[in-house]
Amino acid sequence: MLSFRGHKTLRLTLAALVLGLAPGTAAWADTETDAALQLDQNIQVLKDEALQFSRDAQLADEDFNYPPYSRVDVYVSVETAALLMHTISISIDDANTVHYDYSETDAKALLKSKGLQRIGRFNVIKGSHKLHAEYVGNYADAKPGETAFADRIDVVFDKSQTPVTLELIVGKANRGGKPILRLKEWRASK
Amino acid sequence: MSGPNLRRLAAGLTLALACSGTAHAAVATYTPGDQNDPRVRAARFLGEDKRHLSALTELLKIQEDAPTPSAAQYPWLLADNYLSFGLRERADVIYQGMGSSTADPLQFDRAQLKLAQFEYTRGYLPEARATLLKLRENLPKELLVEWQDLSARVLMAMGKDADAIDVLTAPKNGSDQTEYTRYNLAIALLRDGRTEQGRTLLEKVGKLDPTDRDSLALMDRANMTLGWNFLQSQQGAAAKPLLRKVRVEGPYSNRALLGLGWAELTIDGERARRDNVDDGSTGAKSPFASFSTLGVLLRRGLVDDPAPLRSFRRIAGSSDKEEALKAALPAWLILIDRDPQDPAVQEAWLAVPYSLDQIGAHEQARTFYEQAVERLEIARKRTDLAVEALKTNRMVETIVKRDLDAESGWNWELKDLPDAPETYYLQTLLAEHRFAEALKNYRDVRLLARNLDAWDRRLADMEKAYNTAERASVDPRVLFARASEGRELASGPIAITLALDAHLAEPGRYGAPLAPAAPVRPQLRLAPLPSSGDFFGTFERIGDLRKRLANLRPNLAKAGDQQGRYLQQLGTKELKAQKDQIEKYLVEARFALARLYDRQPTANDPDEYEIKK
Repeated sequence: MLSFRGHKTLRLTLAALVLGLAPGTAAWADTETDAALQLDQNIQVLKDEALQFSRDAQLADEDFNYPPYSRVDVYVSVETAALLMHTISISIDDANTVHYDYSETDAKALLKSKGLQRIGRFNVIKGSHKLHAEYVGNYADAKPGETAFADRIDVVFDKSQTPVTLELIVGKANRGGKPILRLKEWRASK
Repeated sequence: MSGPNLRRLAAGLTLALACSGTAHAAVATYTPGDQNDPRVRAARFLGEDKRHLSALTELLKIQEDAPTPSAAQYPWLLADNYLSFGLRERADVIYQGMGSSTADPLQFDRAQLKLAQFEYTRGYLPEARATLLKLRENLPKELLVEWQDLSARVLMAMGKDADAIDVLTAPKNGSDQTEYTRYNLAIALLRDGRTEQGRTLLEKVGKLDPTDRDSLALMDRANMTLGWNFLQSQQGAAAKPLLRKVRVEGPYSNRALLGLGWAELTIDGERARRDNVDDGSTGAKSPFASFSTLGVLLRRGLVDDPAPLRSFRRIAGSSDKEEALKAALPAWLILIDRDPQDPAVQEAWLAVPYSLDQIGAHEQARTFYEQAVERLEIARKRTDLAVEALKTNRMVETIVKRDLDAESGWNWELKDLPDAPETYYLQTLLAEHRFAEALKNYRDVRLLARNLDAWDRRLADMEKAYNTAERASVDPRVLFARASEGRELASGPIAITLALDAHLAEPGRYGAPLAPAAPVRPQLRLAPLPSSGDFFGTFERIGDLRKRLANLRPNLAKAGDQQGRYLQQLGTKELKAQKDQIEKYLVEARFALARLYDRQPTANDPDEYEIKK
């Protein structure tokens, strides 16, 4: 097999450059292109239909498998600047442990988006429950072999007949302190 | 979680809580669809993680209980993810709706640039141009360079080179533009007939200070393009130093080595002239110092294809022919053992014996021509095999399987090539937008098809659970409690008024028998049965979803097949062009061999040429 060396460079360069095509030979200006665009538009319509279906199917699935009276959603967010998550584990009432290993892409996306990542979805009965969580992470500029941060918490939450949404926040309790875990419960206003 | 698990949890809970000493969670509220809604924030993460399908599904689900979400980010997230998942029309409608109302015009302008970039790469060129023209009206300064670069590429793809030049030069900000944009401007100038200006600019790009692999490749490309441009104008002396500057190992090295050989055989040509383009760039007055300026027109040559990167044919050349031929050979001898599918290498297979023949080393020429025929035959067979392999769709399938679950849509990139022989012949095609974009669509369709397959199984299981009572029914008390939780009484306090009644006996004193009362018979009437359309619970929704799925799956499969066939067509066309070129070389090689076989050796034949590699 022959070597593919240099291909990536070629690809990147071609993507940014206009090929030295002679006037009138623009690559797209032909019937082949028209057919390709028609196909693209058909696919757009189908993608849209598939998306609507996916939405409706997920809603039905949630109602069936995680009905509101027993549903608990657990999310994680990172408040500490430049902290990249390595792993997180959660369990409710010491059962049904969920463990997530972060890829670098996931960890960076969580940090950059300042968004929430849903780690688990559970069914529990009405009443008080204990959530256990632990994380491991490190700063983006940590040197190889540098000790990672870790923390764990046990928090009680109350489950009513409505869905419960919990946010595990990795953030600093005080200036200069190490990033710790804390829990916030979100309730939808009526 | 199953019923027994729930019960087990409940039983252990009291003990667990008593022992734990754990804290309670802090509580905060959100309004569905606002910026704090966890689903909006989750969609933000998913979009950033290039999981556009999941992000869109999450965002669309929010509309179920918040038809017009109030989060300012919501429409941005929706439109950005639509575009990233290749749904241009949906994204465009949302962007247009935000155009007049947005509090952040820069964000809107950036989104418009991204939309135009999508339109350009997908081949919607008039739409891309319209988007860019609209954006030009109030274009912020910080986006000017990006706008110019994209506008020029769109215009050049439409064959409007003069307009592209205007876009890049009118604002007089050449110094701010990237070297890639400068290269594109140079190409536009050359194609528009402004040769001296185009060459001057290419020379500058070829002298950039490389910082990474990409800038090295750009530098090589600029020097190679300019070298070949001189070559095609029969200015061999000007071409040589430029082609020598191209790295011996790199994406453009083969073309450069081929050109270098031809440059030795080509007339030196006229002196290279310089002409700076008036675009406000600094250093515009620098001399055309690196070009060879021997400038003696000795003999006329012919270029058989005016486009750069195409074959060059010399029919007349340097005055000292034998010396020139000997000078050309080293470059071509390096080339002949390289990638056998590269047209530059194939051309060198013929160029070497041609030169040997010309300097009188006829026996060696015959051997090299025979070798060329042999190699070209092999290359032709390989190309045929690649065409056959392409028909099995193996290459595309191998590429798709690498990132099976990636939801990155339009943002997906081919990181490495699959180990399929046909891939090797299609490297250039794989790098082109028309193939890359079609491949992205193919991937997306496959992803959605697999997604629907999974739903088909899941929905079937859910339906089965309803029909076979596998699913434990919910205690009605739970449903009642859920329905009544948090409900406030509609009525106010009950007002009780007292009235005096003189006819009532004291409690216990009234002994008269009660008159028999007519039996109370409530008037009952059976209500009409609810029509099936009146109730649409989860079970009914599942049935409806399965019907939709039955329609959607074949349509998606058909679209996937069509897209797969389109990719095959692109590949086959490319391979056919390669095969045509190989056959053309084969005819030339066989013709030259026949001529050599017919030739009678003479006493004047020189010694063999000493080949050094």
